[in-house]
Amino acid sequence: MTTELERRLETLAVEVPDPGRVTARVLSSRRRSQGRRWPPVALSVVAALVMMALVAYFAPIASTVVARVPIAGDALGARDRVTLVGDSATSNGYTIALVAAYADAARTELIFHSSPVASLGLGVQMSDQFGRTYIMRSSFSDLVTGDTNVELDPLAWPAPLTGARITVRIAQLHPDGDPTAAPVLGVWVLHATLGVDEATSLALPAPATLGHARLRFTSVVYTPGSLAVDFEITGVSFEDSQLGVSGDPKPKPPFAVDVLDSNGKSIMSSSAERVDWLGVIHVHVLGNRTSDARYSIVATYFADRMERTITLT
Amino acid sequence: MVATLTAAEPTTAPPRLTAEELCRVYATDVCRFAAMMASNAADAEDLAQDALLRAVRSLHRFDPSRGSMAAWLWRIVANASKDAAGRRQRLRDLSVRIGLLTPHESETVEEAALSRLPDADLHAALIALPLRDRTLISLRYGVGLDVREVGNAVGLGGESTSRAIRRALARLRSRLEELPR
Repeated sequence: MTTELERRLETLAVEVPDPGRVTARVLSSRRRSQGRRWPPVALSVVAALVMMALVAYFAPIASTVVARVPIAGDALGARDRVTLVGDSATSNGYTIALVAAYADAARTELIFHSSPVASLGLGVQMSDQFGRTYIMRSSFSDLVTGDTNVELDPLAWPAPLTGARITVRIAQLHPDGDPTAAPVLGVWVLHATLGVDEATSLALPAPATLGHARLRFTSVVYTPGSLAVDFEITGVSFEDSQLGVSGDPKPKPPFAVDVLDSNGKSIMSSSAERVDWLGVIHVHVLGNRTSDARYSIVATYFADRMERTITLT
Repeated sequence: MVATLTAAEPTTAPPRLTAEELCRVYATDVCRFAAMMASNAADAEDLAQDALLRAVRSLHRFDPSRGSMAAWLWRIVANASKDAAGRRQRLRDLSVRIGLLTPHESETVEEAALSRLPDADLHAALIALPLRDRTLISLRYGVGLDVREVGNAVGLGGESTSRAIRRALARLRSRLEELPR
C-alpha cells in the first residue's frame, strides 16, 4: 500500500538540472579527455625535465636540514621530534607566529602563538607543496599564554619521502576566545618545511564483543609521537545504542573508548567516528606516545568492558 | 576443389549504446535523482554530470552478460553520489556520533500534516537524512526503480532493501514530525 509520504516523494517538486545542459557538458568533457595524445617518448622526456626542474621545490627534505628541538608545553609526546619554525605574519594589529610543528603518518600538529592573545578557532587552513589541503581535526587555545595547538590530518604521500613544504593560511581569530563573538579579520600566511615520521604497523588485537556490539581492529600503528588505533563496530544499530537511557534527561554516550599508558593514565589526543554506507561504525583513536612500550585500549558499552594490550615493537 | 563460403553468424548480443544514446535515455532520470539527493541546484548539477561522465567513460567496460545496462548505470550513479557526499561532507561525517537517536515509527503525521507540507520542507527533511537513506528513497521514489533494482544499485538483497527503505521512510517521518507546525 502506498502511503501519503511515498506518494509525496514520488511527486516531489525539486529543481531538477537541465538534462540537455548536463548531457552537453558530459559529452564535451569526454571529448576533451579523448584529445590528442602526446607521443610517449616526448611525454617521458618532458616529464623527466619537469621532475628535474621541480625536485628542489617538491622534495624540500633533500636540501633542508630540519631542526628538531624540544619545546615547552605538553601537547606532544615526541618533543624531541618537533620542528622549530618561527615564521610569523602580522595583520590587523595581530601577530601570529607558527612556533613549531610536528608531522607523522598519523597527524600533523601546529603550534601557534598570537600577540596580543587570541584564539585561532577553526580558521586554520593548511596546504602542501602539491596544492593539497588538509582537514583540521581539532584546536586548543590557551588564552593566558596566547598559544594555540592545532591538529590536522597527516601529510599525504610522498611527504614521508620528500618532506613537506606547508603553507598555513589564517583568515580570522577571536580576541576573547569566544567563537560566537565577532572575529578579527585579516590575512596571515605562514610557511614551514617539515620532515614526516613514518609509522610502524603492529599486529591487530583480538576482536571483542560488548553486548550486541562487535569490535574488530583494522589498524594499529605508531610513530615516534603517536599511537593510532582504528577499529570497526558492527551489530550496534542506533536503536540498540539508546537502550536503557531513553528516560535519562542527560543520557551519556553508551559507548566510550580510551587509550592508557602503563600507569593507567590516558594518553588520548583525539578520536573520530563515522558511519559508512553499510552502517558500519569506524572509530579512529589517536594518542600521544610517551616513553612507554606498553599501552592499553579500553572500550566500554553500557556495563560491558573490553581491554586489549598494545606492545610496541 | 570446391570452396564453401559460410555466412557470418548473426550476432545475438544487444546493441551497445553510444555515449550520446546513454545520455539521451538516462539523463532525465539521473538529473531527478541528483536533484533529490542534493541540497541545492548547483550540487545537483555537479552530481548528475559526474555520474553520467563516469558512466560514459566506463561504457566500454559494460558487459551485457552480467546484467542490464540500467542496473549497471544505477550502481555507478549510486557510487558517484556516495563519493560526492564523502568529499563534501567529510567534516560532518566525522562528527556523526555513535549514539544518535534513530526515530521511531509513527503513522500519525502523514495524512494530517503531509498534505499541508510544502515540497521545499519535504526536500529539506530528505536531504538531512543520512546518505544511505537519501539514496534509497531517491532511487525508489525519485527515479521510480523497483525494490530489486534499488537493491542492485546499492548492493543489497531484496528483503534487506525493503527493510532499509522502510527504515529510511521511518526516519524521514520522524524528521517531519520535528518540523515546527
